[in-house]
Amino acid sequence: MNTFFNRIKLWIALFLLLFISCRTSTETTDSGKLEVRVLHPRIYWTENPQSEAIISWTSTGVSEDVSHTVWVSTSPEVQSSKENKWEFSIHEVVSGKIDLETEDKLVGVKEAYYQHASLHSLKPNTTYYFKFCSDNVCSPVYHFITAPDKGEGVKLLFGGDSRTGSPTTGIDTHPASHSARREMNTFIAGLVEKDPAILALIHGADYGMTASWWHLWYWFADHELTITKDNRVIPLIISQGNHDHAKGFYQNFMLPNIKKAPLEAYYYTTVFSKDIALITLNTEKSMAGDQLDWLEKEIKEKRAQHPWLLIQYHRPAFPAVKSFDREDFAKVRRYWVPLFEKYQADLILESDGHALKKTAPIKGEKIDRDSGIVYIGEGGLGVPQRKADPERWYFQEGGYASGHHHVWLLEFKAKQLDVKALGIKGEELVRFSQPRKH
Amino acid sequence: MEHTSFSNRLLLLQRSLLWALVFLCFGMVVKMWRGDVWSSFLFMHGNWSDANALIAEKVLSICLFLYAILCLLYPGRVSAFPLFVFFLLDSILGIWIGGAWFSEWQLLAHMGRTVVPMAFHLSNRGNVKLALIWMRWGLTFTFFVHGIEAWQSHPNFIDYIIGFSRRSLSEAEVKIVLKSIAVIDVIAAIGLFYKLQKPAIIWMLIWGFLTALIRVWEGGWIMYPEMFVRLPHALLAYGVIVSSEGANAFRRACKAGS
Repeated sequence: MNTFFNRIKLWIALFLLLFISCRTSTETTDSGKLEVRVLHPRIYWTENPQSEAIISWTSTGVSEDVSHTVWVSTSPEVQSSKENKWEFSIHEVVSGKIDLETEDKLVGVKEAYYQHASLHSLKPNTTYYFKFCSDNVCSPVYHFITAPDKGEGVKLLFGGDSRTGSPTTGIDTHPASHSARREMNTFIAGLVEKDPAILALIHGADYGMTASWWHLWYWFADHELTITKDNRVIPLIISQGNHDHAKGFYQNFMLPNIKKAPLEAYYYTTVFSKDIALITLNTEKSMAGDQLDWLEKEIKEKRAQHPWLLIQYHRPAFPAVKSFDREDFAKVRRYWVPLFEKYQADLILESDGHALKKTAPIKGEKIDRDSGIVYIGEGGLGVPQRKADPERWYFQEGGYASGHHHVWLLEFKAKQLDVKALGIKGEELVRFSQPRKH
Repeated sequence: MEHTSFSNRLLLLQRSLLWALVFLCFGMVVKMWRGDVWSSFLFMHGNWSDANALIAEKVLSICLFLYAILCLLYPGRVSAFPLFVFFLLDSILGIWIGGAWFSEWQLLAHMGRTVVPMAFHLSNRGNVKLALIWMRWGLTFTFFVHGIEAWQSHPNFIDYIIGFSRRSLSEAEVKIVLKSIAVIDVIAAIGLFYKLQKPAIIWMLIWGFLTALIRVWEGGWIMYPEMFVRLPHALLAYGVIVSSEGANAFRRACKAGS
């Protein structure tokens, strides 16, 4: 009997060792002879979108020692001219092999490298044309527009939760199971084409089911649908969600140019203009530690400097679907909400619930029409929508909650912020305006 | 005399496991009633509507509640194996759904609660030795994974300690505290795995109780289901202490008798 149990102990010990080694193993085989491809163009904005941007892409068929370059120009002629009209190039590109997990290999997703190039000293409100090259294989010419000096007239999109369910197969590798996300991305591209004043997409996180490469591969492929017909790329302002814990998130959503907070922390402030600041918080890190110390200083400083102060993060303080009593939601209310209220944030952007919501103005966990704060969002960029609970106290007196795919359009005016939620077919689902608090 | 001591200790073991099962099932029922991994799985992976998935989880929670009552009313006669399988599946679904730090470790992290029905059933059938093995392994895995999570500075653990200290500790200081806790947890887990060591099991008793209690200390009474599902860790440790001492007493009695 003892021998039997000793054997079981040995097997368990071996299993544990295997488990630990699997967690840290990486794909190391060489793919040098494959055709080189550059794909998945995207732009991340962090602290200074008037003067900085990160251009990111994926390359396949390359090896570690190939060179990567971004070519940049303010001249639209680079789109058509065969002459070299590029104004400058970036050769310092952060690049690395994307770790593949067991599931990635089972699904058969391609080995690939991530690339991130930081652009600095850009001019505000300027169109920048760019192409990126890996091993001398180059992308088409894309462009983006930097943030302006003034906030009036600025438009931003906000949404969250673009991870997908599995309507038919139970496995979301097939593009058909991303249909809502793809429709939403196509809709976003159409919105930007119609209204070039839209500057960026604030993404409330939960990009894929996990941040494993096979999920992100399809996410990035689908994200290309947000690119307009004339190749304008809409920059992303990202946060981290509870499905974005895997190594792939840190590799593919790297923000190498953040200065005021630790790089891996994913909390930072985006100053769109002298008028508008957006604080991105991270509900997946300690909420009571360094992040809270940082927030206490940051919110005070930004409130004093900018007439419009918005805050985004993933896990909601006032959920539309999940239980109000959940530990992580309670932590947001305990540690962060008092600061939002003290410094009178203008609008809070939340995700995670897979629904559409707009709360009544809230202060001190009560509806306060005079000095309360409105919380919007809950995530509808393609994830299957849940049944929201509109009976909760914070959805009374002008609040709203339901299950609809949506994206929010925020339009900043001199004294007023116009907010509307648009459905996947362009239908207007929620609309409200609020006056400036400062 | 030694036989009486053994009987008393067996009774103590059965009672500790009974309370462990009561807390665990009640906590799980409340969590499921509010919506947990089962409805998420049916909704996201099973292509169910959200409303139907929630109803299904509520129905499942009622089934769990009723079956747990049967097990508690007829200990040793009604098999607790289905409860064991249920908790095992719950942990596996947690891994599948993801969306939480270290969810890939969940099967092992939850082992301390998963083994409770089996230990309860076996102890009520008088098979203390086998019950003890289940309990030791459950505690070993739970504390081992807890140690790994603490070593890697689980954000929730950081917030518990900062909240408990009323923000008098910085995050950097808390990370040092967590490293120390991690080392003790892993040593205690490995120690208990190979040999029943009293210091390890006493650490698990105290620490299991405190880590359950800190949920309501930090989050208020609304967090009671989270406390309830973790109280079995301390009760298992208590059960291991009384059953091992009872077994020793029984062995001494047998030797004296022969």
